[in-house]
Amino acid sequence: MEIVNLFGWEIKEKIERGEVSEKEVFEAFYERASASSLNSFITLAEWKEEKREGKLRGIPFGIKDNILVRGMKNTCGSKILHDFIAPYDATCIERLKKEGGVILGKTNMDEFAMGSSNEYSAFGPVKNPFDPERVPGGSSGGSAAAVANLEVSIALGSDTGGSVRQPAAFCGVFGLKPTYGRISRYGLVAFASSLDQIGIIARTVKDIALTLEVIAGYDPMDSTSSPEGVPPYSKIIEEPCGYRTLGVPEELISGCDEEILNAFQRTLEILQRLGHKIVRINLPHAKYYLPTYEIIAMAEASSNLARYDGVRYGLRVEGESAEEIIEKTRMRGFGPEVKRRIMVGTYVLSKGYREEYYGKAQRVRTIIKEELEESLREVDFIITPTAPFLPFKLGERKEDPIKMYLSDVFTVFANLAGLPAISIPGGRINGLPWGFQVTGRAWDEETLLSFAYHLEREGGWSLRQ
Amino acid sequence: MIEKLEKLASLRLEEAERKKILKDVEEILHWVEVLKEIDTEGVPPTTHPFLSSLPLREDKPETSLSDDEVFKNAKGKSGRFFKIRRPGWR
Amino acid sequence: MEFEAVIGMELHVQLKTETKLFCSCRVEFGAPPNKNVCPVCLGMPGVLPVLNKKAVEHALRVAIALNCRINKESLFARKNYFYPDLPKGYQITQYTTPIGWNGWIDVNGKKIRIKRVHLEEESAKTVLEGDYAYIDFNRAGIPLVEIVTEPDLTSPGDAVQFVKTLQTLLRYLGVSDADMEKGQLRCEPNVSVRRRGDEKLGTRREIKNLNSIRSLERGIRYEIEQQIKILSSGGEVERATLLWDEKEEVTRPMRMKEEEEDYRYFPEPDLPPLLLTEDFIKEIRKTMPELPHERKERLIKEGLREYDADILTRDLERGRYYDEVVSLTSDPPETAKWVITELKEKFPPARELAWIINAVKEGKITRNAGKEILKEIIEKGKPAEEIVKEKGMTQVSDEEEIRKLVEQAFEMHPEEKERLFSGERKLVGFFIGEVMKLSGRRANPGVVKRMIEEMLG
Repeated sequence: MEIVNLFGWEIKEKIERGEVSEKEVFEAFYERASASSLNSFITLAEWKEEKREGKLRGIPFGIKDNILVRGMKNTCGSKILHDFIAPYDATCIERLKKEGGVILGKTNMDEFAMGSSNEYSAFGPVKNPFDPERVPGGSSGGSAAAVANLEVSIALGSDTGGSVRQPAAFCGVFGLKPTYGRISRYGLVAFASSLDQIGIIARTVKDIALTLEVIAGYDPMDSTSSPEGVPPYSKIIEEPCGYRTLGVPEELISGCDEEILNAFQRTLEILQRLGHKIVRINLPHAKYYLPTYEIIAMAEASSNLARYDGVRYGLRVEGESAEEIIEKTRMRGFGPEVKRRIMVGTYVLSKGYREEYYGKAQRVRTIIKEELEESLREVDFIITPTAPFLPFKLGERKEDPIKMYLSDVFTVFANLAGLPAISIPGGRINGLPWGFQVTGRAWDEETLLSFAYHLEREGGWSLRQ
Repeated sequence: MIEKLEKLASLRLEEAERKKILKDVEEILHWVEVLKEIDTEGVPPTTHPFLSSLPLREDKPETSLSDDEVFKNAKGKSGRFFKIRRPGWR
Repeated sequence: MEFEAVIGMELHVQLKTETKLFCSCRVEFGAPPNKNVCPVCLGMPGVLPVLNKKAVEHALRVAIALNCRINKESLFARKNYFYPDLPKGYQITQYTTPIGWNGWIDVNGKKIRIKRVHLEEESAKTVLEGDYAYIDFNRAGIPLVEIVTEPDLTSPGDAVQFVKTLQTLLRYLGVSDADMEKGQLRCEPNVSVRRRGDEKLGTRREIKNLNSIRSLERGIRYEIEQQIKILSSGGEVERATLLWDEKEEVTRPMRMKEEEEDYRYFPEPDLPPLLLTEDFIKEIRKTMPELPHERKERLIKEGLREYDADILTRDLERGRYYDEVVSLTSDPPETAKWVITELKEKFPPARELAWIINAVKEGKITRNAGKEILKEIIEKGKPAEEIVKEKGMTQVSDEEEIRKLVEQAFEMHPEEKERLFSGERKLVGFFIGEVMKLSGRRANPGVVKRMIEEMLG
């Protein structure tokens, strides 16, 4: 079997057995990545000969271009950081490297992680490996496409409202967003601080479990990272998973495309055949999830992006005064979607409107969090399709922001409540991939990953190509 | 309204995109109004998803960046200073 | 006076810590520009704040010393605005929940209420030259405590007393050197004026750039006069922020604002709530240093006059020196006398002064001799004992010599000797005195006494 077809953990074992060298592995993937027409990478790394050992030895990773890798360009898919060289490693990258992981390159993304199709990148859109006229999803479109197209084994992305799960579904691969605070955000360029998490994309749950084991855990550089212990996920998932109860929130998924709903229904039947229980659950505030998310995300984003002013780094457009330089730099440096969100975010925080919009959204968030936690006391997981439609055509939703936001209708609640969620590939519909999302209790990635791995093996969702 | 936001966000909009973005912003704001339907009387806001306590750091100095790294990405530099046109006011 | 002034203050205190508020960069006065910086305080992409424990302890001390109620759970907030000296485009501060609130401080018998005490980060330093701004981020992120008072001050003199009292307090707490000229303490008074008897407050204006106590006094005085002028002529005082011009000694409006800045405050998502446990607070209370007013009361109790106690409280250096000396003399009033009246700017080593004080007390040397020796020590740096020897001020303790002196005294006063030896013990003192005279006050009185008693049998 070709190297690129192997899973990450298989590559590591082959290297340890001396059957293949780290350099050979790198070159095999590098060749595919540089020959690819998907535009999944913004920067490709160079091979570095050095002593590597650890759980991720020799495994080539794609890193979303908003996670800092020291010495490499970190653009966030934006003109405003088009030439920014990262002066430090993100904590997850430090941990990755320590366990022998190899950085193959920085993947393309929607600018500052704002988007659901990877069409809002200053470096051109990413194409879906299954149909180059369609989007790979976003904002971690490059990461998902690279994994699906065997350009890397495993990729890191970021997920604020679904940006790892939705592209994973659109590209037919697994994508995990862990519990908020599970993985350190130090070195992840902030979009919405109370919603962002680094996520992991791979073709097998085992690779996700292995990577999570390495990069998760308390980081003194991130005050929101949790001191919760990190269990040995890669071992735990090998144990039997048991029969689970899954809740389907009817009112949430009603707005789904017909074809997705049908495929989803069939999936539920398979799950039942495997011995799991499917029940209906009630999420009374489902229709408010998306607007609540947008207000909070845009508000925090408007503040997080204030540092891009040309003063200390990044693009600088000249002017007569500091104010003019700052205004012009941001005018030329940011794309339209980023500008939209900054405007809305600024508005909902502004005097006279803050309590009405932002304050309100934060209180609704409490209600949403409680109703989800309530449900997860009755069931083990909440299950929904990952996205309400199949990968759409390039240009189809780009000019209509709200239409674009609807891509996230099923994914945002996990971010609002901080819950771990994984997108599991569901197969093909008319040749295009689709995925379903399983959301678990906070801090219980063990159960979630065990379940997903069991489905991978028993349910015929394996992704060997 | 848009001019006020432009000022607050230090973000000028180019003429070509101004109308479209204003329209989009208005649409989005209108779309999120739906939250007004919910009664949030007595409900506390969620400022952080999980209420952990803030960890405190020991007061011990550490160096992290070389001079080269500090200025590597700077577009305006003079000696050891970051240089930029002066602000118009203050 | 038809009018009265109403003054409140907003102060920013730079805390004395090793590192900045949210990163481990060194806090260092006089370092080369942009030397003590890191990705966090430069506001680079992907960075996060981590709170300095010492800064919290200092802020808590300030809040406790100002008799504030302590918020056991306090949140940090973002204050959003754009300026080249603000790396993140927002300042992390505290808005709805400051660490301390509703406190007070006694300023010469007047109670000034403290509205709030909170932590926030300092901005970078900008030097303006020609058309350009030159920015040094060494200062960016240094911990600040902001103290806001209620408008309880009523005159420039009041304000000055308040600031001086606060400075002493901050220095006692060891949280800041509070030197205005060094930028460690910034005072922004807000001043309004109203007709005497009026309940309603006048429009207030704040004054920036007052960099010394002197400027503070003059600035406030000038502004009060200006406002009175305006109101007297039937005009209205407009809301404004004023800049004090040090050279011209006038205030000037900074910018005409139709509306106030909108900082869009919201809770800082990168920092969970700061929870101060009972134990933590108790520990800080326990380790609070003696506060100025406590010290003054103690010194008075130990026998000092109020005037002296006040001096030894306000003058930190002299006070600390006094503490050192009194621990070696155990005589507060005497030590105070020497430390306050005999020492100008230079202090000799504490043990030297203590030696002198003790020696004078014991009668080894005269008071004047002591003053002389002090002068010598300060000028020549020699230890007291050496000087005494040199100048022949040495005490005589040699037993043989003293025996001879006693015998000499006995010979000179045969009648008294008879009386002493027949039992008039009180004449011991008389003979001690005689021996002291004979020895030019150099004899060791203790040894003399012993000798006499020995010879008595």
